[in-house]
Amino acid sequence: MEHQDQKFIEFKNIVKRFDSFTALDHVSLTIPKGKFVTLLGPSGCGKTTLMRQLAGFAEPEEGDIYIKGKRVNGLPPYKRNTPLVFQEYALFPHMTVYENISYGLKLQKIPKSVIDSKVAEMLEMFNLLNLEKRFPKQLSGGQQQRVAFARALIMGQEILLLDEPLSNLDAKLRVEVRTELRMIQQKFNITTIYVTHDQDEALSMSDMIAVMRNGRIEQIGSPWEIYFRPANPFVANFVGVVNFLKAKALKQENGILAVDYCGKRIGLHSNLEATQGANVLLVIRPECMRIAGPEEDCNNEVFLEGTIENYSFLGRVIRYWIRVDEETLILDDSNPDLSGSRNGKVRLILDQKKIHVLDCEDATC
Amino acid sequence: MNTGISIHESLKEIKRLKNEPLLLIVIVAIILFVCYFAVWPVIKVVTVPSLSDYGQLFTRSRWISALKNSLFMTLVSTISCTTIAFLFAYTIARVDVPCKRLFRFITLLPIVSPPFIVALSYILLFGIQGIITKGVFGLRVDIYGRFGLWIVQTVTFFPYAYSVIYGVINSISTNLEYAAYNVGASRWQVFRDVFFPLCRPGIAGGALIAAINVLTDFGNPMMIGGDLALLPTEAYMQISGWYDMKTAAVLATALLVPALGIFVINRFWVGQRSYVTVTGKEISLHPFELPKAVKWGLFSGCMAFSLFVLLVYGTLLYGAFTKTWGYDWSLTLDNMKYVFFKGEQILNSIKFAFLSSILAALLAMVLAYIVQKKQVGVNKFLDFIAILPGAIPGLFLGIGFVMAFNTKPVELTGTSAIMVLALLFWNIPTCYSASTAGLQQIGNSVEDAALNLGANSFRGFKDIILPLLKAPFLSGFVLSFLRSVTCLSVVIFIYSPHTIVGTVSIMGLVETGQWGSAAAFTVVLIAVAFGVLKVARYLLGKQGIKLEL
Amino acid sequence: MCKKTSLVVLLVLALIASMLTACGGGSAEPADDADAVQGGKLVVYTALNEEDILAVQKQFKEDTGIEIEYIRLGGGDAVARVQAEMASPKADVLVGGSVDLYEPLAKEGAFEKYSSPNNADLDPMFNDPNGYWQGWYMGVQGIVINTERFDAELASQGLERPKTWDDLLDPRYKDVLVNSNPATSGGAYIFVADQIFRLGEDKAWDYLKALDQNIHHYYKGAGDCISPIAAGEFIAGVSWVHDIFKVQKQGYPIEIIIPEKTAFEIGGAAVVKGGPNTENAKIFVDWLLTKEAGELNTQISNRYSVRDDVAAPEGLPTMEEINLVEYDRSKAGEMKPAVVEKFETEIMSNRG
Repeated sequence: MEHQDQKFIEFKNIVKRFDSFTALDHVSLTIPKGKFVTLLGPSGCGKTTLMRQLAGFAEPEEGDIYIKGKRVNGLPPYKRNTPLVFQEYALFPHMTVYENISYGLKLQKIPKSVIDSKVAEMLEMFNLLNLEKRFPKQLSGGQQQRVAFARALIMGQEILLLDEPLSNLDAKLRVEVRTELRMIQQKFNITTIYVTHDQDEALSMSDMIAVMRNGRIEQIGSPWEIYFRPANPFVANFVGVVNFLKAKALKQENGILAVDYCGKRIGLHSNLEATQGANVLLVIRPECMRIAGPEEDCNNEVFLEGTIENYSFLGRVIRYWIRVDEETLILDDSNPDLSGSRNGKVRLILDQKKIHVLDCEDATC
Repeated sequence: MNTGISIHESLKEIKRLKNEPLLLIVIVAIILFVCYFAVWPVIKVVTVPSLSDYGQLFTRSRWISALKNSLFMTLVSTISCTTIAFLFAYTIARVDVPCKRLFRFITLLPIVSPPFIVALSYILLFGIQGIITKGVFGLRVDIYGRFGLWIVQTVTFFPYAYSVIYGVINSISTNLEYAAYNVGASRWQVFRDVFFPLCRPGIAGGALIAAINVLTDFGNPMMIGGDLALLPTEAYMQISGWYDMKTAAVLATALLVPALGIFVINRFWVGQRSYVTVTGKEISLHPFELPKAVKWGLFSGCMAFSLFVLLVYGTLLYGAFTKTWGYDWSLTLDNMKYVFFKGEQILNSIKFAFLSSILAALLAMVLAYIVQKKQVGVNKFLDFIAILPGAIPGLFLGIGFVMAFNTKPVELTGTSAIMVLALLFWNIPTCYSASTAGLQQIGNSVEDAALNLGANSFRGFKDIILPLLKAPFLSGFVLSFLRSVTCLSVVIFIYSPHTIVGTVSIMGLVETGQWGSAAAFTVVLIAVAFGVLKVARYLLGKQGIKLEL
Repeated sequence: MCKKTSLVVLLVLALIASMLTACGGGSAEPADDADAVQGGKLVVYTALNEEDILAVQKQFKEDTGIEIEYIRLGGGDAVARVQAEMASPKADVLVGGSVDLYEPLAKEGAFEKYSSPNNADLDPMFNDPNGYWQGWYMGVQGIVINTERFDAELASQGLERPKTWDDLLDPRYKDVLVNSNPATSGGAYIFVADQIFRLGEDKAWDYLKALDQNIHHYYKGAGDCISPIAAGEFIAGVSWVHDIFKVQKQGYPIEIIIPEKTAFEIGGAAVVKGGPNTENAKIFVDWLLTKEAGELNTQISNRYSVRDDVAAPEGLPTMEEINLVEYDRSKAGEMKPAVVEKFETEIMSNRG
């Protein structure tokens, strides 16, 4: 049982081609029961294709798909019970809200009284009471979207597939729905696969993120790992703003990697085994640096010297573009001064613990 | 390499059908059905003559001139049809003028009226003794031959081009034009650089539809063509004058080849150049107001043409109630007596038109659905056979049915079934394109959603696609019905004593000089057609669906 | 929703059912043979006018109880149909149209041999020596002229009403004459053959070519020109007297001229071999040859009966008063393909 829960949904070596284009290239992914897993990546990376294989809208050329240990390859979509919320909702335009939500249950020939009570439950959960007789075109975008959720969730609360369901909502609503969605998912322990290209959504909702590119999974990990310990520059770049600094490895000792950056020796928390003189890449998020105060003593810190080129006030932070040698680094000052921005020459203090090091000798760099 | 993969893909899709036995059965049944009733008759006709029989096409001087004349008439009539069609389509879709209802009516009237009979009005109005030509203008015009035929064909067939062009113009977002105005283009520049290029595929498509109709027209040349030799009339005469099916088959095939050519051009060349994006979402602004002179110029053009058509049909209507056609104009109801006597034929017309149209609409809908929404490996083939009957001239189809189904095992000649089947296949392309257009408006994900919720292909089709296709289904059905009620070419060789339809009688009446009765019969038939249209509109209107034809 | 679905299913079923019964209707026809003797029905392909066949249908039903179902076609079309259906005939009897049209079909074996007991007293020329067809009426060819236009346009030029075929060659008739094409019209062929019998082969072709100069265009059927002339589109043409007479009776300003050396057709009837109601077809042929049927036909259609005891149509001269050409029917039949071919190549192909 335990074992099955760990492999609630499993993709094994999935290959999908469209003519000569390979949409999925030997993708494997295991999803434990009750987890919220996000497929994240730029458009065309294969994330939607992967989800559609699970729903049965397309069949892989190679590889196997298992749901609860049962191989589902070749099983038509209507026998898979993998309710999906479509990006454009795909509500049936000729059916009322009630008919839309109840349609799946009706197909299962469930008694009307049972359907009625389940629909009522959904209407309440999604705040759609009194709208059940309306047609989709008489609803607002947010309401339509909630109907789409209700229609999928009523199908039982084991699996839920979400294909960029929030992309048609305005920014504020999107953040609200995110929270609600996560709450419902956790409440019913629904195994959820969420497809998006928005890293904020991915980071804020997921138990696990699979970052995809060109039909391959680049990295699977928790949001924290994906953000702070990206497997390669692509992942680092895709999940947020990042600075890359090229450096040379000096020595690995007890989890501390010493590197040389422009003649400065920096010790970093990293288990990376790099030979002396090897190229490495330092991955530094904008919030992992701060600007030292003018009088501050920096001798115990790792710091770089640079010149402020530009800045942008974002409210809770000020974002600076600072010239350091050949590079321009982005730094977020999360504690803006009421008196305004700084300028001129500054010193940047690096948070050694949060700097991530990538081996730069292989091709991904 | 690429095709290898596509074939591989197709084979895999076909294999996958094993999971959907119902779908597989439906596809196989449709292919067999269509091949048997549309492809087999064609093969039958084409293979009857020998090669040397075909050789006569290039040696008999009358046939050479028939070939030349047919191509010439097709060219000139198509140009005029397309021009008028564009004028009407543009004015109705884009210009704010009064009388649009009248203009729409004018674009429908020739479709619902039986062919050839209108020629009587032309002769009366514009003939040598024409009321207009001689009576009003004192001219002596000879309309028998190319010139008269050109006018008649223009009026008869411009509606077919119109419906295509109108559809395309309607789907061009006015936003694009505003975008052009926005970057500083003048009205004329917008028309020339943006609007017209976007219309071009529609114009080409409309022109080709008109061309097929003109090429295969045989009713009008019979009445007003004089001695002009044309392929369809020569083919008809081979049968009725010489009882020579073989030679008729040669000529029918000579007709089929250019018709197929036009069809292929339309399908593969124009089709691929269409810019129309079917989103169904775009919100367009009102068309930009035209300069007054242009606006009223367009209006006058449409109005003049409409009055012309009204005059022609008005004459027919009036003639239906006069004592002797074109001579004694005193009113009488005598002509109607005959029509009531022949009530059964009108019923036959309605019955066959109804059955064939509803079956064609159903079959076409299923076909369109499979082609558009299912990956079954043979989509392109299915698409092809669905529109293929559109390239078969009605006369050819009729001859083919006689040849293919007059002996066992499937002996159908003389039955109602052959009438229904022939009209059914003649109507499939009309219904198919209506359903296809409708399906393209329905997002893929709507049906995926149904599958996702546990509906199998059949349920998904029934619960989701069918209700959403109601409007295109009905517009295909109604259009087919109208065409069938007024169709002569398809049925002329296959009717029997108890399956005679109105158009056959009209032709008989015209032949024996009972023009008043013929006019009366026609008026009743047109009235029936419009009655059905009205009822359909009313019923649909009650459900909030607007019937677009 | 559910109700609607079942409604649709019902509708489709109903359609299919009606299709099937429609199919069945056709194939069940031969079974009707059994009750053919008492009443029953008869399928007629006819080249008579609508009005004529309607009268025949009504009277025949009254006299014999047999219901006629008919298709009215041009003579050529009717023959083409019988021929096309030879493998499985749908018609019982072919009636109307010149017996010339019947010959080729008789040779192909489309007809059942039948010699009616009622034909014994007729002139032998009305009975097929081989027994395949039966002549039952006669029609005479004539010239139709629109008197209003003639008087207004031609009489003023000093032209008198035409009396002979040759009068039509006057150049003042240019483009106001219409005729029909012998390739498609049996009547037009009889007109051409008439000229050959009247003038001899060579002169006949000279005549036809000269006449062609005046012809505006050739219609498909022999009767097609009457209505346009009646309506004033053209001034004169050649057609069947009985058909012209009919249009004249409607009140149009037209006149019939029966020129010397005109030709006549023998209108035929024949029993189709293997038709569904052959016995009724024979009853029908017998009936056609009765005095009553002859009088009915003469009265309605203005055709001359083959029976001596039926008077000429009222308002038309008797057969004896008409000057007929020596028309050799068997020769006319033999030379037809060559003549029509020649007409096509030497006259028609110079047009259109």
